[in-house]
Formats: sequence, structure tokens, C-alpha cells
Amino acid sequence: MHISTNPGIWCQAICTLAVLTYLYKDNPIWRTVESIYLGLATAYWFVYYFWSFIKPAVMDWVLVQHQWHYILAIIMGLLIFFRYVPSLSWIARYPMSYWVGYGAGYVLAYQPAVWLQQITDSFRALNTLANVLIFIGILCTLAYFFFTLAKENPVVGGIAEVGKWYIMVALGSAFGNTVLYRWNLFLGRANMLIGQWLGFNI
Amino acid sequence: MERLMKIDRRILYLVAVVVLVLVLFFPLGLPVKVSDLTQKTYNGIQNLPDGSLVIISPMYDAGSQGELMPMFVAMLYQCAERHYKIVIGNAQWAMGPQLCHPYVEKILKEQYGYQYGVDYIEFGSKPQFTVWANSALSDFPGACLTDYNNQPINQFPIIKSIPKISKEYVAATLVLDCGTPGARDWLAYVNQGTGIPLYVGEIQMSVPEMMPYVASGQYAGMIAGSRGAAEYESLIGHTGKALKSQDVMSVIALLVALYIVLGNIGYLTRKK
Repeated sequence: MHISTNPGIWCQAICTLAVLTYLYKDNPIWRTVESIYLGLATAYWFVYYFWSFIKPAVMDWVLVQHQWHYILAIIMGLLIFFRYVPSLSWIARYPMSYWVGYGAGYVLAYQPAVWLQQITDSFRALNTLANVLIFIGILCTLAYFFFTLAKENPVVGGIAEVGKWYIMVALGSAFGNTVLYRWNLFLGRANMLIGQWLGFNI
Repeated sequence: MERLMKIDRRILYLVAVVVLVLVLFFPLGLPVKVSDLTQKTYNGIQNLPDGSLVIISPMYDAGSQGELMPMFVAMLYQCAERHYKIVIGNAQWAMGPQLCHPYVEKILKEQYGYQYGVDYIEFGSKPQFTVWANSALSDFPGACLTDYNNQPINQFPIIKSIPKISKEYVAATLVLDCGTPGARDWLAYVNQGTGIPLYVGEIQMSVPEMMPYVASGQYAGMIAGSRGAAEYESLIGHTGKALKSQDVMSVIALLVALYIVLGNIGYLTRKK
């Protein structure tokens, strides 16, 4: 065992242990570290985005490279801050509308091709057990979401029940994978505490 | 039996942590069998033409690096062994390139003698994935403008090999994904239209959601979670963090399954 003398590692270890105290119960130590993290993260990203994108856009692209069309984009971005002026908050709707419209248009242009291939792939030859199960699963799961059909009907109700079981299996799979993912993150922290901080060779 | 449902969760956490620490100190040496999916992914990347240029996009931040960094490192080793030209960067995940940079320097530069700007380049993180991707499809240097060190990207010889992102210049895109924008955005805005094969490294949590894309062939291959990363490491012959963690993950998975069984027994035997 060789405890680290690196202040960065000690900081990591103290913050990690402080956050893990929440597993026992809510306490001031965890709240303090949570607030420190939120403050640091906000400050970090503010500084990062300013120096990485805002400053180059204004100082380099416009003033040095004379790409004057960026002025329009900068003005549009600044108009959003009118949200903080109640009497003029309607001005902020213009850049927001442009932003939402551009985003929606862009998604509608490119996403359907992805979905269509998924739909095409669902039409499979029923020559293997897996393909038969996929076919049944798609139909029954879709039937579960047909809320306009009376589930009291034994045929419709039965098909929807099968669909419900497919959904439960899918959700169970998602849950299991999520649990393992969270434990893997904790394992990373455990490796840091035991390996880097306490200096054990694991 | 009903008491099984009322066990204090702190005891469950404590037992799990103790088990985890014990297995860390006393590994079981459980075998890691390579799945067909990981083998397919490995083969796909391995069999790219000699001298290919690949884009590796680490679309993640510090929260997901535990699972995705071993995959990134393994991909670097594989691409370096095959002497591919490598372009590394992303859009909207500012921390990804920063986290990856030390490994890029250590593996490509120091171990394999890659020359920056000639054999590989890092273009850092750009804002707004959809805008960057749309621009890069017609003018990659114009979309990036600067590299990871904020130098004009046009000065580097490797950029002449990739005037735009298209199948003519890019052999494959390797995307490490943990959210949005991620592999699905690469698929929609880049790979679906250009036909460039897309290989994905995915966090465990998103694997069930992404399997339809693998089944339909939209993802050419996928490294599924930490288990996939461990299998990948065993294929490239490099024992990394993922491979070392599999004993612990196996035992934890068994323990969680036991907890679920006990909870269900308690639920089913409760007095109604």
C-alpha cells in the first residue's frame, strides 16, 4: 500500500467519498460537494464556450477574416437575451423560431431515411425462429398501442397481452443493462480509490 | 419471507461494495469468450484497405469514459497496427477530445511513431453537430477550421487526404457514443447518405436500444458496453481496464440477480 501524495488524486478521492455518503443518507457533506460541482461545472463551461466559440466568432471570423455575415448570426444570438426584459421578451421569439424551424427541417430531411430502413428490415422471411419471434413481437407490440380497439375483445386483448410481455422483456433488458452500466461507473471510482489513492496493486 | 422486501438498501449496497472490493483483490480469472458481434466489428475494421483513412469520434464526456475509453484505446491500437491514417474529433462533446488526447499522444506518437499532421490529426470539438456535419460533407477543412491546438487546419498534409467526408476519402467512421448527438446522428447525417461504414462503441445502457441498427445493417458493427470492450481488448491482444474489470462485473451481475430473486420471493410470499 502506497498512499498517493498527488493533491489531484486526494481531491478526487475526497469528493468521491463525499458524494458516496449520500448512499447512507442526505447530509451536509454531500450537499457541499454537489454545490461545488455545480458551480465548477457552470464556470468551466462558460469559460470554455466563451474562449472556444464566442471569442473566435467575434474577434477572428468577423474582425480579422471580415466574414461579415457572421454579424447577423451574432445579433440573432444576442436577441435571445431579451427574454430577461419582460416588456421586450417577444423579440427573443424570432431567433428561437429560426432555431426550431431550422432544426425541425434538418431532422425531417435526414431522419426518415433511417426509420425507413428500420421498417424495411422488419419485413423478414419467416424461415428462422428469431425472424418469427420478431414478426410476432412487432405486430403484438403495435396492437398493444391501438387504444381505439376494444381490449375486451378476446382476440385483440390476447394479442395486446402478448405485446405487453414483449414490452416487459425489452424494458427488463434495458433495466439490466442500465444497472450494469451504473456499476461499471462505480467500479471506475473504486479503481481510483483503491489503485491510485491508496496505492494498492490491483 | 416478507422481510426480504424490507431489507435496508444500505445493507445491500454494503454487501455489493464488499464483494466488489474482494474480487478486485482476488480476481477469479473467469474466461472472456468473444461474441459474434465483437468479432464482426473487429474483422470489419481489420480488413479495411491498406492506407485507409478512418475518423474516430469520441462523442462522450467524463461520465462515460469508464466504459468508452478502453474501447477508444483499443481502436487506436488496432488502427495504429494497421497503419491507418487517423482523424480524431467530434462535435458538441467538448470533453471527449480532451480526455482522449493523452492516450492519442502516448499510443500514436510515442509507441507507433505517428507524425502529427501527416499520419494523424486531432480536430478537437466543434459546436453543433448537425451544422458541422452538413458542412463537412462538402468541405471538411472549412467545417473544422482549426485543429485541437487551435492552429489553422489547412496547413497539415493529412487534410489534403480528406477534402470532404465521403466514401472516396474515408474508409470508416468509428464513433464512441453515450447520448445525443451520437452514433445515430452520424448515421442520419453522414453515414446513411455517404455509405461509409459506421462502427460504434456503445455504453451498456444503450445497447438494447441500438441493436435494431445492428440488425438492419445500419451499424456495420458495435462494441457493446464494458463486456464488448473486454472482448475487443482480448482480440487486439492488449489487456486494458475493460478486460481486468470483467471478473467484478460478472460477480456483481450475479449479486444483482440474487437481489432481484430475493425481492421477488418476498413479494410473491407476502400476505395479501
